[in-house]
Amino acid sequence: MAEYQSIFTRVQVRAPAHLGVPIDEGELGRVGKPIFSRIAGWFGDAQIGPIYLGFYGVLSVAFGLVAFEIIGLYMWASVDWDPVQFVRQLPWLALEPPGPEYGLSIPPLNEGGWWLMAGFFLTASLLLWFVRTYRRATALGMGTHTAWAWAAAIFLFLAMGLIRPVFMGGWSESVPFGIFPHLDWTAAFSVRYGNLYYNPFHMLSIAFLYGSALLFAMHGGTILSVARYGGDREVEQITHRGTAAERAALFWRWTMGFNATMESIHRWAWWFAVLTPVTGAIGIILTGTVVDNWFLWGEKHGLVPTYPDLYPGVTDPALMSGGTQ
Amino acid sequence: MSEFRNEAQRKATYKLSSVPLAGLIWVATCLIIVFYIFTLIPPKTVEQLGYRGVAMENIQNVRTVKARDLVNQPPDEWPPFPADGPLASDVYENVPALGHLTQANFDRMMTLITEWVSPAEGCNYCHVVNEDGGVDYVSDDIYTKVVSRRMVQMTQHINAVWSDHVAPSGVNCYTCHRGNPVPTEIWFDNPEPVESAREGAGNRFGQNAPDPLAAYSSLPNDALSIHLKEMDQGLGDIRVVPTTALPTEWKLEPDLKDGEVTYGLMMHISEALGTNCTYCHNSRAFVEWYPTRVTAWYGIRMNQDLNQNFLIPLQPEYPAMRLGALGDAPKANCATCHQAVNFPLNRADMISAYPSLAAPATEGTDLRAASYKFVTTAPAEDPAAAEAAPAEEAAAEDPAAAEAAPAEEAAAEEPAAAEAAPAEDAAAEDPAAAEAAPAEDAAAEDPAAAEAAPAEDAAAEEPAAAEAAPAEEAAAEEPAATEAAPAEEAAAEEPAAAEAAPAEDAAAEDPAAAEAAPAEDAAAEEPAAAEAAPAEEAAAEEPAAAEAAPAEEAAAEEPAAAEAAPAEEAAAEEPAAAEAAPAEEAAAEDPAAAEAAPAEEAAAAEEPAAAEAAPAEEAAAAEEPAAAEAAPAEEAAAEEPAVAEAAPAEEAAAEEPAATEAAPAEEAAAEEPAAAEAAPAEEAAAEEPAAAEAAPAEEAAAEEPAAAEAAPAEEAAAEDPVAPDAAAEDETVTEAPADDAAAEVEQAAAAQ
Repeated sequence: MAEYQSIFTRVQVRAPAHLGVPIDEGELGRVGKPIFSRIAGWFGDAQIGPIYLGFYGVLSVAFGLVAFEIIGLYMWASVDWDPVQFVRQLPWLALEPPGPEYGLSIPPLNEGGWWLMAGFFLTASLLLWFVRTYRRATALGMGTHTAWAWAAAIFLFLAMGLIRPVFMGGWSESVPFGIFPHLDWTAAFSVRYGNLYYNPFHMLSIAFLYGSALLFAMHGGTILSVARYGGDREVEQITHRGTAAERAALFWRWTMGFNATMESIHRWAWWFAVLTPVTGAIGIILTGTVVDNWFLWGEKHGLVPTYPDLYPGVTDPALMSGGTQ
Repeated sequence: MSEFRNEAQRKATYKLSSVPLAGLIWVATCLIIVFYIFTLIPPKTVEQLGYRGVAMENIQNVRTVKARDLVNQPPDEWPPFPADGPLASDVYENVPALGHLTQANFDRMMTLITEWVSPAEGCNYCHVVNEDGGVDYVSDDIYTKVVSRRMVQMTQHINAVWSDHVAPSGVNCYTCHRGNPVPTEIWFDNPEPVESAREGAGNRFGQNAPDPLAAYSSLPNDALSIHLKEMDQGLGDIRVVPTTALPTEWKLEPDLKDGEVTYGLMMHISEALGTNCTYCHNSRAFVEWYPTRVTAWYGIRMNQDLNQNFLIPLQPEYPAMRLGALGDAPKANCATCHQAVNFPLNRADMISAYPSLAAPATEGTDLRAASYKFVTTAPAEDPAAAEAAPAEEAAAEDPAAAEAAPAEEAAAEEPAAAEAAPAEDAAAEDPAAAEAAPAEDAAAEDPAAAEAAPAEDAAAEEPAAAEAAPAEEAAAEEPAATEAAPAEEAAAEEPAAAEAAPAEDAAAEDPAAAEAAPAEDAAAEEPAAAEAAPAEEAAAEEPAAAEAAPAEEAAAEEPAAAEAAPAEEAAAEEPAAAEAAPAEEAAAEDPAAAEAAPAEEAAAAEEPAAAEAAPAEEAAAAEEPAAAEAAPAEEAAAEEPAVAEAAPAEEAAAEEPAATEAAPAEEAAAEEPAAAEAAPAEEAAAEEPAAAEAAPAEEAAAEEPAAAEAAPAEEAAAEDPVAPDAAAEDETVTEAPADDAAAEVEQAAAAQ
């Protein structure tokens, strides 16, 4: 038992495939004959499949595939269909949104139309996946926490790619599809709007993001540390003296005087995870629409410390008499 | 407590006290490897530039600095000789840029330039070797010499005007060239966006490629094309960060794409200077100003100035091998001088020993517009300078030099040379050369050659050929043509051919053909058409108008055509063309001004100078946007957008978009987009886009792309794109039946 269910374990329990609970008639069935993978067993359950297809899931994957193809083929076209260059330059390649001259209209394909199309299919795919997770959770009699957490991520995605661009009046404000390009977009976004670090919602988002990482580490470490007592299986944990759960709780109480419960720690984790994209999205939506320069906004509201002026008299040369020669 | 313990685990814990020696060796080895790796990280120097805590600092890799310092060594200084002895301009020919030096110092500078720029190629890199092996130091027949002269002017300009950026070190040839005839750090327009735009997909929008110009980021790599080609005053497109906390207006731009372009430009600057963002910026607030950022701000404007006014205009001088993929001239960016050092050549004094490079030869000269072309006798090297020849001549030109033909001629042209025909002709043109026909003709053309009709003709045209009517004609043009009326005519045209009617006609047109009406007509057109009124006609045109008054006419035009009046004609043109009408003529032009020579001269056109009318019998000068005025009698004034007015008798006024009116008798008015009306007799009306109609007698209408036709008698109208008439006009133009003409241009006016 001591070596059971650890990523380093040499023992994997193998039982007959579990097909799951029966489902109502009329729905698409689960497909795929279950297989077992030792490698999968190192990371999770060794059984793979069956999978539930379902209308929304199939459509979501199909739409996602269309978006993926548009982005990938566009990138490939941008290197003249050279497979070697496609691989070499892949981190730089992108599908860019339309230019500002098109505003919110539909531009020609090669002027950003492809971006709009890919964005539509990708958004549709994400929303359909939300429906799928919601319906599967309901079907299993579960709460819909996972679906709503996913919705929080979609909200951030749409904040950058749809909501804020619409408020600003142009698709050109949104994010390109690409590896380096979307990172450069992020940097440009911060510089363009006077340093996003002074955006309080950005601060909150970072707090929740880092908090999520911290909670994840605390929770993961705690449970792993009591795995030898079956703490990972979370059985009979609440009521029994000396169980893994009690040891885990006592560890934190003795360490810092306060401990979460087996239930509350997951609520903490869920909210931290969800608030990370939600606060981030609010910060994005406010940028450029309500606040134009976050640094100056921060100065106005006492957020920014003042430093001595080391170069008095040095000002914008364009405003000095004469300007350029 | 005991039931809480795992006995097996406790035993294992206790065994830790007997960790095997092998384990210790492993740990020690790993630590040594880690420490070794840290020693591979190059040492850095950090120079603090701002208040503590804001991370404003110049971070330099000690090894990189050491390596680049080896190559960033200034050449040895060579102080000037005492300033005595003859001036170079007295000893040598064709030394406009450095002719104010003494001969000894001039030779010293030549030697230095050779050392700095073409040490391997030697003097002959810029001086032509004759067939007999001798060197022709005067000749400008090799492009390197022309470019070198311009570069000398540019160096003078930088040191004189841009001290905010380059003082106190200054710059000389070596700052950029470093012993290479072509500096290593130059740039061309990136053809990639153009090519990909043709595809149905894969448009990179000038970014998203690993390009050193953007420091291998995916930021836009054509930021140089966008921001370094034209001067801005600092509040332009580069600056994207708002200076107010809240939005002050609802607008999209500068949007994030603009922000990315700016970011790309900044990455270029950072790479070019071998430093980092925080050398100039406090990264928590990019809007704040620091001394280094101010210096960089001037540097950006200087770079724009150099590209816009010095490097890009040199494009026609270069052979194809020196041009970029899109046929653009090589341009400078920050790296051209800096070469990865924040102070080029580590602040070496590059200018104290070379005062001739520190300022223009003539104090106060604006070298941006200075001529760098071959000069012999004519000192005119400036901008625009157009000068009128003594008698009945006038030459205007820009930026080239204008030269006056001997007698009664005038040639204008730009940048090519214009030549005037011997008698009473004038040719104007741009950029091609204009040539004057033997007698009383003038031909102008561009870029084609202008040919003069046998007698008294002139043909102008471009690129087609223009032909002049037999006598006393002239044609000018640019790119359109203009012309002089035959016996007093002219034909102009562009790109179509202009043909002159047999006698006394002229037709101008574009792109259609212009035809001249039999007698005394002229047609003008556009974009350039010019025309000459027969005797007493004029043509105007657009975008400029050109018109020639009969005897006593003038033509103006821009960029279009200019024309010459028959005898005593003149051609004007732009941007260069100027013309002189012999007597009673005038030339107009745009955006330059045309000026009339005293008597029987032509007016020279200049730009952006003003045009002035000569005292008697001159033409009125047209100017833009100033008003043109008509000389009392026999004159015409054209102008735009101002109003042109016709002189009382025998005049005509043209104008656009204003209305023109025809003088009672023998006048014509043209106008556009307004209607032109023809005066009852001998008038014509032109109009556009309306149709131009010719007055019954003695009228003519020209048009384009339609054909222009000349009315039988004494009138002509030109116009574009529509029809013109005896009074011609289109965005300009007009003409006057009798003895006057009015011309005008959107920007220039012509006058006579």
